[in-house]
Amino acid sequence: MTTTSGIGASTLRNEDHRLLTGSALFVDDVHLEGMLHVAFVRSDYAHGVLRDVDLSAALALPGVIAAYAADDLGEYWSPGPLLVPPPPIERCEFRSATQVPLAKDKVRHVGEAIAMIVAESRYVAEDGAALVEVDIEPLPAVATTEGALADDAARIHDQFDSNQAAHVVQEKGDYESATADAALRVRRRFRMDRGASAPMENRGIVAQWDERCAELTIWDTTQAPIPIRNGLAHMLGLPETHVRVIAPFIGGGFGPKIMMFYPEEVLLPWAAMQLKRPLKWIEDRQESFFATTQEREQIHDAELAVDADGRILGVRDSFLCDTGAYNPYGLTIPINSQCTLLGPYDVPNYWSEFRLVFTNKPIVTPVRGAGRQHGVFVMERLLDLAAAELGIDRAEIRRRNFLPPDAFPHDHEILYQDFAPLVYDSGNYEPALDKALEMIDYHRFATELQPAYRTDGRAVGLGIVSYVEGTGVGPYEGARVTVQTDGRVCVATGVGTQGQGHFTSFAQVVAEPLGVSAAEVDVITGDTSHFNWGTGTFASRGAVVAGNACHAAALAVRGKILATAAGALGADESDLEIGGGFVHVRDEPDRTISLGDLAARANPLRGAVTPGTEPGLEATAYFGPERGSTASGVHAIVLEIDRDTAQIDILRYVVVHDCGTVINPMIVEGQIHGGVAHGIGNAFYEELVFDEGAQLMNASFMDYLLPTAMDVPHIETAHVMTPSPLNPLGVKGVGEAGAIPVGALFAQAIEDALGADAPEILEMPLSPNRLFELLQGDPDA
Amino acid sequence: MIIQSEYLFDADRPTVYAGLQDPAILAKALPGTQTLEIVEGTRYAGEMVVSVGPVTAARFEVSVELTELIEPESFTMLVGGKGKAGFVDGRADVRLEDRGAQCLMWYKADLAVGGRVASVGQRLLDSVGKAMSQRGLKAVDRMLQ
Repeated sequence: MTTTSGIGASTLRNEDHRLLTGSALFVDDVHLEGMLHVAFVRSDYAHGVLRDVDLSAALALPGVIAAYAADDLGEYWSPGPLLVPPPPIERCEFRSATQVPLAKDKVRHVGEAIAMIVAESRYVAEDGAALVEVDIEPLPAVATTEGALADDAARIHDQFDSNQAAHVVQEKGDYESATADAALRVRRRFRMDRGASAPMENRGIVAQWDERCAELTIWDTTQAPIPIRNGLAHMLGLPETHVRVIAPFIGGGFGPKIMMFYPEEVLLPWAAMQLKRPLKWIEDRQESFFATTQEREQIHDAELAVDADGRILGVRDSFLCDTGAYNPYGLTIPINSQCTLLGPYDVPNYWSEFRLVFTNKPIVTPVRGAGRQHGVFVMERLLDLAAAELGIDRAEIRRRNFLPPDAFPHDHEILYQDFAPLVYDSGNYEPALDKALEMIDYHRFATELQPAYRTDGRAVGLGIVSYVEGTGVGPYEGARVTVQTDGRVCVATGVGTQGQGHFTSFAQVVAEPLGVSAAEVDVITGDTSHFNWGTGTFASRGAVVAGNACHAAALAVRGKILATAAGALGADESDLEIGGGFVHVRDEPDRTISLGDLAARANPLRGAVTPGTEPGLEATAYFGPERGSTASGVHAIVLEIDRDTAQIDILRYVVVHDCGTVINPMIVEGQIHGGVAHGIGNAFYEELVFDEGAQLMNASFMDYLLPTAMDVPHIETAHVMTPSPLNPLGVKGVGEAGAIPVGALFAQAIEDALGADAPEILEMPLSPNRLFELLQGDPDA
Repeated sequence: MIIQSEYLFDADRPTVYAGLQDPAILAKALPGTQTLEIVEGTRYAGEMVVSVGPVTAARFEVSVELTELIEPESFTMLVGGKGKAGFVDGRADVRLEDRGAQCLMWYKADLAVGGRVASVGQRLLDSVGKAMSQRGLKAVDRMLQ
């Protein structure tokens, strides 16, 4: 039944026409009559007592309509919700302090919102913001992850006796006794630093209050329109049905847009109701560096124990994780790190401990990968070090430790971020490794190519690393599929879209059972007036969770089509076939009826609908997997280092990926390409640099290096398909995969390029500067 | 941010020392100063306009206090500045030494810089700070002649 645009087809994207012709709606495209504009006054200090906010000069400025500080919000002022409470892990201490709409009493990071100015234009709003007098008495700032737990560290949240937000231990087997006779222990300290998500479109919100209808409409660059609607309705005392949240086209999510509720998200709707005027705020690029959440700062002290053959006996890891000034996202990131460290390997004994700490830096919530990078970096680096010590080939040490194909489902005996046990549903790792080795020409590189490069004085190295990615976690998503009387199919689902190709992938999933082409399926995402049950777009789960909901709804509609057609054609359902927008009786092409005509018959203007049936060719379905599905992959690289400048040139980049059933190979490759570009940034360019006062030193694209088209190579991809048994489509997520292993890959390839005199690379990101320092033998510079 | 350098004045040590206590001359040492007046004793207050890279013509309210005065050898300047583009806070230790008829000034400023000046001007802050201090001292030198 596979059609040219069904599952598995690289059909062109339904959304591209609108995107490429500039007719797609983004939040900043919303212009409403009487709309006012908002600017924020933000803290220049990372930590301080907020003594006074004087709005009088701002309010006196012509064009300024309103100005608010924390006290002006009255009872509406409230810290945000703890989005993800800690999983039920036995040894877990956790305490939470969540972000506030406007700082009151204290500021805790640079860029924290202090006051909100509403004016006739953004220019006037910014001028008004500049007139606000803020009196802050500076306090010593906690500027480093390690410094957070020092005895003399300033306390960021006065209600707690230290800056520790959590302490968690997860354990499997008995590391100490099981590794007592280990042939080799490798122990190192690993550091990973912060980066920005740097979407092309920053955050933005438009809020419109219709007093007569008592309805609030919000355009929001959120990845979670439905939870935003439900939360705001609750906060504002409105029925959920009277709040509509539209997350239209969004220029990149990458995780920080699943964070809620941002101060701006809470304040604009409230102020729109107060002022009875529509309000708009679009985040500027500099604000984005402070006010949008960030990720990646962790320090691991990890040990790997192996036997003489390089087989893993166990891993012991203790790490610090920075959550910034607040921790609304609970333990998702460090638990992802803890779980993903185990990788595709059989690790019989594991002891892992982490401390989550508050610092005076912007808030940390998941950014593409969400802590998985850290686990992969630690494990892959430890395996490289062990392989070198034991004289085992680096591909071979991985192969020896892979979970075999018959080991699934594999229970790692610890808990994952979705509160379910970390059980890998399926996987088949050796074919991916073999494919990557073949594509990168592994053996020839070692025996012929690299020696030849060396003879020419060129430092060229190869890297190859493996990883898994927990994807497609619950709780659920839903979809409603409707056949219209013109024969087109409409799908509405709750997840928002930020460039993933949902308008096409979901269409393909639905097109196949309904016998239409994907181009005949109109997908609506991210508008609560069309679908209002669901959670959001995160954790590489759109295709898995919403995709299967679309599929289930389409199968239900198919049932209705066949039942209606059986009546219309006077045939038995089992004799009917669907295709090309028609139903016909098998072997009798003349006995046929179009889907549009069936839709009209199913919704008659006269007569009676048969008892026990519903009108229309429409169905709503939900899907919730019992746990996430585990995707996996192998990345390989060949890169060249200029020893004089420490610049890097990527000569080849290979990705072999297993995300189960591939709905649209072209879209999957696009996701991988974007992820790799993000990963290259995290590995070699992007770093948010803070000084000892926790001031961010590079809050502009002049100083914050993003990889450009010059730095992202052609990427060669191949797929291995191990369908997930946890969902009917057999799909696994792919959105974050490309970004996850790149730091480890760079580190290994750089060491390989430099040969015997290579410095050990135990940190990410590197940068041309940092690599230069390491090449000079100055690891502490 | 640490700015550490030295400057050779074409004047003797007592002249340099005394000059630097005079708000009119001290203002010259801090380029961009619009006003600087004595608040009390060796405490001064005024206004500066500074440009650092993309942060142009940023206005700062500044306070300067000279302490630990050891005439004519050394003193410490406590500096504070606050404006829409951020803040500067810190101290500068100043030491004067005889070089024949001339006077060598050695200085080390340890400044915390925050806000927009730091976050987008950082790349230029060191060089702007060094250039500004040298330009200021040159102007002082001229005034002392």
